[in-house]
Amino acid sequence: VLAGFSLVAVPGARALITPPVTVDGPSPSILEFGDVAMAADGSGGVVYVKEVDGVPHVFACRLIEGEWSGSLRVDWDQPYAASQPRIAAGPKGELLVVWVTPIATVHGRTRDALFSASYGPRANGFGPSQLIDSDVGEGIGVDPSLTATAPGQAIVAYRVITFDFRPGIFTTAVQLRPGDVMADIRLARLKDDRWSRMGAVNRNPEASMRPPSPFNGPQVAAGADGGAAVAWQEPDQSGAARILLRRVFGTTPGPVLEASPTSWEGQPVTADADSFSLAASPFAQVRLAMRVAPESSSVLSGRILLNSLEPNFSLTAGTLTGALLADAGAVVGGAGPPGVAAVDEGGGEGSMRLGFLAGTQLRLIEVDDEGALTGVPAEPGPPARPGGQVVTTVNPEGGGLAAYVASDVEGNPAVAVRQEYPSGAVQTALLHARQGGPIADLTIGRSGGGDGLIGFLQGELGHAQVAVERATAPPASFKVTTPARWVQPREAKVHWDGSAGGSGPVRYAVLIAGRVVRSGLRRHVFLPRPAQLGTGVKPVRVLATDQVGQQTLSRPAKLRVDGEAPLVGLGVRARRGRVVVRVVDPDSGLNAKRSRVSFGDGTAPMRLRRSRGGVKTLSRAARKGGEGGRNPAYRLSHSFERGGRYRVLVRACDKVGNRIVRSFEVRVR
Amino acid sequence: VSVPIARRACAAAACAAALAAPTHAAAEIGPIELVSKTTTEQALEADETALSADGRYLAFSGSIGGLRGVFRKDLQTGAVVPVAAKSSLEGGGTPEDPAPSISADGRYVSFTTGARLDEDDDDLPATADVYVADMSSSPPGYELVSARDGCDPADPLPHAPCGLNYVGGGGSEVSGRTALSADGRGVAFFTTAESDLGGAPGDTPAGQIALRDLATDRTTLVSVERDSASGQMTSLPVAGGTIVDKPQLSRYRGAALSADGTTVAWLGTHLPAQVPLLADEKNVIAEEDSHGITPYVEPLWRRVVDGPLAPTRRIVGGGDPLAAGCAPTGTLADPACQAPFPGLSVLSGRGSLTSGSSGWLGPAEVDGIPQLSADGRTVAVIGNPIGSTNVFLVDMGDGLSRRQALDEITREVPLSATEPAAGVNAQANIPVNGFVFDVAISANGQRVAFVTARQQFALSPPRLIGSPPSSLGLTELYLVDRDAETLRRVTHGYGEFTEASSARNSQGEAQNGINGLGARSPSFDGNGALLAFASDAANLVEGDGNDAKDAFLVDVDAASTASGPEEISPGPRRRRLKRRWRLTLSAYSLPDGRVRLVAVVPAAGRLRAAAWGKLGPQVRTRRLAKAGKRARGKAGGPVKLTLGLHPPLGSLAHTKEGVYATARVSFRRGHRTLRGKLQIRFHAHGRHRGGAR
Repeated sequence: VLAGFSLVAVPGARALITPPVTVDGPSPSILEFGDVAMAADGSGGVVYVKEVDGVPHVFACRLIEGEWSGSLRVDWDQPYAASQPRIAAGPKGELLVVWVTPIATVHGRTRDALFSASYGPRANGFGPSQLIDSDVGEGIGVDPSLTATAPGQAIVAYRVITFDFRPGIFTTAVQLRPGDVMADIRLARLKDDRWSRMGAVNRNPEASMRPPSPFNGPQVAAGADGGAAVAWQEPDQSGAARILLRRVFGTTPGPVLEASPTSWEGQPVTADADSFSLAASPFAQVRLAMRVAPESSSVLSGRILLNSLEPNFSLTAGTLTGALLADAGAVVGGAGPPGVAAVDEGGGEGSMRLGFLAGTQLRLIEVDDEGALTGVPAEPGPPARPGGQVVTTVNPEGGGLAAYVASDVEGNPAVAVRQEYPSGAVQTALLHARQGGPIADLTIGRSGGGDGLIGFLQGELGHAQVAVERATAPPASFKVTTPARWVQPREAKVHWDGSAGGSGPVRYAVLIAGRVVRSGLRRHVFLPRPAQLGTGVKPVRVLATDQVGQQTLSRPAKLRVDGEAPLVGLGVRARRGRVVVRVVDPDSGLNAKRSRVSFGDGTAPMRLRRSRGGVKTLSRAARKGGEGGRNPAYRLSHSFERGGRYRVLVRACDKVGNRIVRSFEVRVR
Repeated sequence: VSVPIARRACAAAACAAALAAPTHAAAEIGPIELVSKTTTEQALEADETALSADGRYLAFSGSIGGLRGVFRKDLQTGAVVPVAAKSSLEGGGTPEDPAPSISADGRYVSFTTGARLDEDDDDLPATADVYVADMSSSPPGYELVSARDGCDPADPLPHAPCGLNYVGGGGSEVSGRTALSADGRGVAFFTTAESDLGGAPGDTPAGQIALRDLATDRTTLVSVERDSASGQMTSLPVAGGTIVDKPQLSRYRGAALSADGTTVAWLGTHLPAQVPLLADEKNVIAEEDSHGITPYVEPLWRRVVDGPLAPTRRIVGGGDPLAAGCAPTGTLADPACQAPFPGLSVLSGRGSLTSGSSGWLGPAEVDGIPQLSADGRTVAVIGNPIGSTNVFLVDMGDGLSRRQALDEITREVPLSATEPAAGVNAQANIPVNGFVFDVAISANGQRVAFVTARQQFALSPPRLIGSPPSSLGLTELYLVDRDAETLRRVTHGYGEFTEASSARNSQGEAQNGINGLGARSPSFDGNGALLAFASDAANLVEGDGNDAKDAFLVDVDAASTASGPEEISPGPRRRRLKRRWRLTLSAYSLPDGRVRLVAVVPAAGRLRAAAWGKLGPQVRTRRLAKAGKRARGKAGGPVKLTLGLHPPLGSLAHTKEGVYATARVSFRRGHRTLRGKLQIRFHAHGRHRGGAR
């Protein structure tokens, strides 16, 4: 067979950043954006607060198989006003939502509680609400942070303001700074269907904390095994707010680690670390990016730092690696709040992507092959609103996603999205909801595969819309497995791993020798028809295509198929009464033990012997080259002692079981 | 468990501060446009803005282009034309407050003037009169509004002058923004002198409110007395007048006409003559009227379209004798007879509290004229029944008690629970309890704009969203959206959303809004989306250089829905896979002894196959069969050929072994050829041979 090349375009590759979906609104009843979450299989959800009969309640929309559901009431069994909802997502559309709602009136003051509700994979609505914490004060600044590790496992961190130093109430607590409040940082863990509270984890419950702000709520992130890390802001004895970190092993918090520096190059850091971002990889490698408050005379003012914890298999997993400057140079006026994402793959110590706004421009930082922090070269994007939040994801294959609130050329607010693909290609977009308007509460849910659901609230209250942008990375690379040995066509089964990530369900196409022999597969195994295979060594690749047309092609795997019986030849030297039987199988090779030759002259059937050279008359073996060509030829010569007619019977079998029986009639003079 | 959800009033300063914190960072309104200017110059000053319902025209008073008076600006073309103006150098004629109002289409503008614009009918040179200018012609035509009932000034026949005759000083005046109906044919005006409004000289005391229908030339007295015995309205004017006759309370005087021309509202005095009162209320009000510093005032409302018997109704009140369950002999002590603020009608000397009148409103700097929605059913009104002045919204629909009808829009943060009026609007307390000075309501009643220097609002909802002012400046304009239950600050410096409105006096000192300096005269268009206002602030628009009042316009909705096109750059290029130029062959024997050969070809082309073999070990190789076919699919694919032994040899396929042969296959496309071969076997099996395959 002659080999050549031609080019075939794989159909279906479409836009990868898609226009955002306005899942609800514009509506005067939408009051608050909560959170957005995405599972590894591409499903997810968004949660927000909407008014029903004058009372704010929690609503969610599910993303399942690429389609958004309608609005679902989460707190259907709660009559009072809800606020601060957060969401986590599991596979097959499973959702877990927590929120704050009043539970009682005590001494004339309302007392709020933290509740949760879940949506199971086969459920048709949210289940009844579960009480997590029956006393979160007046429900102000609770800012829960929720992460789910596996179905039925989740952890939530939240803040409870225990005293706000209001006048007229006696207290012995000391208010370190005006406006400070007394607060607990608490954790609760979900196992199966039960929440267990782990209590306050902050270092010094007697020290006042900074009042709630959009950037200083506690954050929690978890690895694949449920090991988590929680970070929060807490002043130290100097009064300056630091970012503290604790690992959480099961239900046991680890020691408190001070992630933000108290001094730098010999000078004390007197400014607050006022915003931070926490991320954890599947192996619980923790990345914590933080900003020291700008507009201060303190060292590090307005700078971005990164501190890390090694993966949980590391012997130094409990020790911070140390804060590093991570802003690629000081920013005039100070950097914006950071956003960080982490994965285990890539670089010298895993990969991460840190984004923040330097003035009106996005700045991205990643880890290079040596594990050093380096800036990601990027063309200037649309101008951002200074001081805005940046959200990021990182793709284990390379590249990542970043989004921030920007302005278009007419000055209208829009969400700027920048996605870098593993191939190095970049796609950018400037997006908005169904109607324009100011954008708030930019949030991201990460699948872990580089995909992200970017949620935001657009429009002023009264015309607010809940919008979600699904920016998807291509399906993750995967491995194709073929039989390790030669097989008959009926045994040539191809297996491959499921490809994580991607947008919605992934379909697979099988290519043999560059030709698509089957497409649209959802299963991860395929048995080609023998006619599609022929005989020989076939390169097999599998093309994974997600719902928006993003494709990932596997590396080729060799499929060794032998559908032909051995070739049998007979040479006759009639005058000498000598015959030579030649047998070869250029593909899997001859099974000499199961091959016999009977010459019909009364001699016992004999085995074939390996030939030293090639067999010229059976040129297929030589011509094919490759593995088949290396197979030895077999021959057997025999001399008939007297003339006559003889029937030479050759029974040959190759190594995969293809048999042939040939008989030759020989006349010896 | 009892949880007050619908509205939480936070009394503590800390709570108020929390409410004042920005909850929606992107809720800012803007940009603000300076509109009191022509293409070449900015007005020397501009005030008293009135926006047409179609949003195209803005009427304002001021001084521009060497003229002083009332002007109309076409907001589409930018053209500013005088409505009634004279040289700035001339004295007299035009009052300080011409108080323009404008019709829905901007064609008609009503105003007060001392000039005799209709000399035939306005024969008193020293009195103020009300006119409507028809801007459809140039110069405008003027119609005298303050005219006697049934007299047509446009009648070409000789007739007595139609203008009202007044005794003593004074005349007729109108309120700004709200005096004109949407069609420009109805005008509500009030008299400040004894007049012949009833037809006979001096038959109508001063302080009356009248409605002039320019289409029918009818002038209807709105302020009429109520027969206390029968409870029916009479045609008699209110003795002593229904409006406050105090020069220092000029902002209490006026009347608002709903856009549909059906309803008139005003801040009234001499209530016992006009509305039903509780028995003990009458005494208190009479006491206040006779001995108080100023007469007792309350906002009143009358739906004139219902005819002469239509009652005059209290909008709020201390008592509510018409409430369901209130007996005819009910008193203020009876809870069923109490209106939202029963303390109004209790003799307490409140009038001296803020150096203003007693009753509903005290401060003299506050605009007390109720504002009406287009149908007149919803009233926005400023009052200080308890502490500082606040905005109230009242539903005048039938069947509601005053308690049920009233909705508080703002509430100050009280400094003392026992003395709510203590320290009100004091310099240090302005951020928490500064006065509300002016108010406007949109046509559908869903949006309310008000003016205050206060920065903290104790009620939620409406939730205060957006950036609070970073400092105390002049009075700011705030917008309440009742649909969204939000409160937003409209005015802000052009530098930052947090910048407060500010101005400096001639000595360069920063001024504050303690006396109402700052925003004023808010006016909505018909949709409630455009908001015009005047302001003393010098930092709302970059380049505002006149150090005086200016007229401004802001689109409160434009920012919320404007969006540019979405832009998504192309994704990575499509992956192109190398397809091998290759032939894949396979074959199997058919039951009838032929061979089915399947060739997977890479493209369209011609496929040929021939079977070659030996029929014995000692004979030559010969061709045993051949076949050909055209592969048509562009992308190639499997092509089936059937090879059958040539007829003389066909029987060999039915032998036990059959015939082994080599199939040589060629595929040709253009000048490119692929070749391949494989071993095949012609062997009949199955039923054709009677044996197993």
